[in-house]
Amino acid sequence: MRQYGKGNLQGGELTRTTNVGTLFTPAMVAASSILLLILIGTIFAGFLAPYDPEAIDLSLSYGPITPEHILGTDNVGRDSLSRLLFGGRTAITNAFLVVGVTVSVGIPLGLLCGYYGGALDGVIMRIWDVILSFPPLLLGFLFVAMFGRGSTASILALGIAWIPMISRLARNLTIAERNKTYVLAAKSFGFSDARVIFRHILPNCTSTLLAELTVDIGYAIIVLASLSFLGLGVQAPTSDWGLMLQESLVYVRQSPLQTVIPSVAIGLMIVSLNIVSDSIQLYLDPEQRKLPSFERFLKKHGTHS
Amino acid sequence: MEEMIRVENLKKYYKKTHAVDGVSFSIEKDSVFGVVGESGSGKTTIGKCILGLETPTEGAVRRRAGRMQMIFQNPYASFNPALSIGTALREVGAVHKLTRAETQQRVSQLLEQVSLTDDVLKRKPKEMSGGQLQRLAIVRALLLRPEFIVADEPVSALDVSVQAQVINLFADLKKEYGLTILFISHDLTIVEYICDTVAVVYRGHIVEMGEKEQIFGEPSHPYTKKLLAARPGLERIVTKTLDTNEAPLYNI
Repeated sequence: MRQYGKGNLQGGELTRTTNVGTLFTPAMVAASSILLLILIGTIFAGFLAPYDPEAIDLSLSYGPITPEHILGTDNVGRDSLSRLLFGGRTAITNAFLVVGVTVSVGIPLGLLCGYYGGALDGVIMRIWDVILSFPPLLLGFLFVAMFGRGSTASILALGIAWIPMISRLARNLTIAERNKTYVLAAKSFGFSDARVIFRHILPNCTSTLLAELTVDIGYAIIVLASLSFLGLGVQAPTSDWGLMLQESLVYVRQSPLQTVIPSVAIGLMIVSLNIVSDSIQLYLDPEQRKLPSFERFLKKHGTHS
Repeated sequence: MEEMIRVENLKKYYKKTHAVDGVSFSIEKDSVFGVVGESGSGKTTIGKCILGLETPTEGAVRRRAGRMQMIFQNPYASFNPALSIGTALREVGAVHKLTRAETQQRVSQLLEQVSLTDDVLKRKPKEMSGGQLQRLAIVRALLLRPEFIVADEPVSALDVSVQAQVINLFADLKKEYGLTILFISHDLTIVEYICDTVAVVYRGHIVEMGEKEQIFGEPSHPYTKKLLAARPGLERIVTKTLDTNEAPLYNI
């Protein structure tokens, strides 16, 4: 039988190795460890929390840090550590729900607009323009005014407010992909449009979408906390980081610690999410990946001491 | 001879560009029909119109073929980078209602014919060499047992040493599966080697068409003469080893 070239794949020279650098930079490792700790803490809040987060004990109001209450107690004597863990659960769950609403509506519509273009694209993108003209917080007020206070209204409002961003990203990525040869090849095999869009184009967009969504979760936590802080989101007595901040702020002179705790939690979460997102983007962008370290940068351009 | 494809006064305009401007020809069964021309002459558009991947602005394509497939110029672009080779091949089978076992059996048989082994199935396209990937593109195209294949510059993205292997593969598979091929290329040497009939395309028109011997022996149109004169003939000798296994097949 005739041989049409090397079929053996063991030979090193045949296999293309792509040197893509590492995703696991020190910053990425630190940030993802923090995120992992927060996630474990909030998922297993039921086991880890030493007390019922809603158990009031007025004799312990503004309790200091003691072995029994590692992070002290709040104005009505509830254990702050327990409230922090359960509060994280509320905050993160709600943030994921916001992103869930955004993803489930935004990405499919973005893919369809990008793939088909034309009138569908024009109409939907104009609708997104309208939504984009509202600041998310304002849209939150609007929904609360219409549907009443509570987490459902704020989740819906923020979810809708962020649909345009992710939808546009998905659309633009799809436009970049749809004229590639592999899409034409898929069509030439008689694959349906749905298969081409969701099974061939979408997997090539996921990494960029994921980087965007990581940041969105961070923003969702901030804005949800803001709504809670304004008394429009999660309602007492549920534990929530934003709500903890609001309640403690009233008594900040008596017990500043209680303001610091949720602030630090929110801050750590957001910073970590941003680092993770940045790392993913750096990893995906070969231009930026090769940036020299700061020391080499200084050496190259001279220092002005 | 039986006629398989008939193209009648085919026109394809993209806004103001006349990519294909009134082209008529027919392709006989079991033959290799070559379309030569410089880039931008409308060669690929003709192929896409025949397969129905583009809608002609005017004119008609009559097909008497069963299944038709296309093989693309750049194998790295024609495979989805996110899917493994195995997934890509199985998907073609699954969409066309082949059972898993049937697909597997056809894939194994074809892989053997193109001198590859089953362990390529686990790989991603970027882990393969261009020649290997183009052979896999051929496997994917033949999976559905097509009667007619449009090969759009199937070797021009490959190394010169690999080109001959893939061309030989085309020639052999054509015999084995009784394929009719529309072979699009700008490489006159390859066209002369593999094609039976040749059409020379210039700016969306066929300027000359005929048997290979006639086109390469006694070209009548000035453009064809120019093309033939421009080909790197003397420096690039096609050795007689073209249908044996010895490399290198082209000497530069």
